[in-house]
Amino acid sequence: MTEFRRAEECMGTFFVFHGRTALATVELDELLDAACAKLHEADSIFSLYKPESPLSKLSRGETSVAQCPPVVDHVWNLCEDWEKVTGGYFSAFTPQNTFDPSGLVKTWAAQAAIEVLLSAGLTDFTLNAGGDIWLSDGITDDRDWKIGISKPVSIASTEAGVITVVNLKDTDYRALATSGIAERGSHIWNPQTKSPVENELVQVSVVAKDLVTADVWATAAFAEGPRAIDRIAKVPGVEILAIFADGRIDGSEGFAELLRKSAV
Amino acid sequence: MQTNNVYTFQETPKRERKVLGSTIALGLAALVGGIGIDLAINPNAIATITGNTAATATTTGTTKTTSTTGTASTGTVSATGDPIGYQYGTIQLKVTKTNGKITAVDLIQSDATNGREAAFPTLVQAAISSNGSNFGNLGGATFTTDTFKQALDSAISKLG
Repeated sequence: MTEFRRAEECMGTFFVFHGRTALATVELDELLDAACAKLHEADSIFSLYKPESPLSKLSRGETSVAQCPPVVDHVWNLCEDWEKVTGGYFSAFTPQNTFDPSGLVKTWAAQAAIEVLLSAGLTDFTLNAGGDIWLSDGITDDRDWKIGISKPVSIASTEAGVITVVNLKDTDYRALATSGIAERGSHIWNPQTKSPVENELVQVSVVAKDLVTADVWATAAFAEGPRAIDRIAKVPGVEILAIFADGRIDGSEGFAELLRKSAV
Repeated sequence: MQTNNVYTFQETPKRERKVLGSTIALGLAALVGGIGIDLAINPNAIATITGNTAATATTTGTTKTTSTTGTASTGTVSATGDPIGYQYGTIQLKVTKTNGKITAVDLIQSDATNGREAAFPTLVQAAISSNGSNFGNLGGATFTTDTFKQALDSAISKLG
């Protein structure tokens, strides 16, 4: 078995694939190229930082969803569905009524990249999608089952560190996503009030079976604030850990149970 | 509530959503965090409950007790830590090791008012105490490429 690590710059962040495989280096490199191509393809369509992307044109009113690649319609529908599931707290429709699916596209594209590797038979790998973590079912290194959760400060800060560690081994969770202000400031807005989120939370982490579910709920919970803890506690298969601005920590009972298991 | 069927959602009719070109600049500003934040993060409070307690822990007398059955490497050892004062109360942990592995972390003392609020600081500390930096990935809010490159020089990036 060969250990591999590949860091790919895309969507303004890094995607880090790490794992073990029996594949030859040449084959593995081609496979990772194909996986990363999925990320770049999504970026080229959905980036609002690229003036010529279909989404940028859509935002400027120069095209319609029907004229965009079909995947735009698909993602639009996904965003609408998630908006309903989260009680309106995840929304890809900005206060200015533009369609901005950035909150979903990163992990949605990451999932597509993961599928490339899974369909080629890889079973023992992890993906760090800019801070959102996904684990495959067949991880053989116990370290890789464990995920450190950053303190609510930037990883480049002198105070950077880990607030806790969760071990997803022997659980149904395969993804952990985190939303907060540590890296990019206040970039999440509340779809209900149509204004930037200002609440007592500085960071929320959500575990779920898949990356998109974890990511969407983390974003929705951060937008909603402390009341999201009770909301998410009722959602099967999804658990939350919330950090408050004053240092308090709270979460769902399921996340408490995960921490209890992680501590032994 | 359906949460795991993201790839099998049924087709839903589109609502009327206008896409306004003139507001794209505002949308981008919101996206990149151009709006100021005034949240008063208290790193000390957080450091206190993540194991970095040397500077801020409050110790009430000499409370360390150790009971041992058998030898340290093969038997069961339990140690009770100092009470740790944090913003919402005092917590104290008892850690039990069997054959060198932590097998239990018990809450000995907690005077925080709310049961759940008392449990979480204890649990996040217990999990980091028993794992340290022994993890494969570092999760957190989405970092930028610049931040990632800066962090590559620090110890934490070597873990992620």
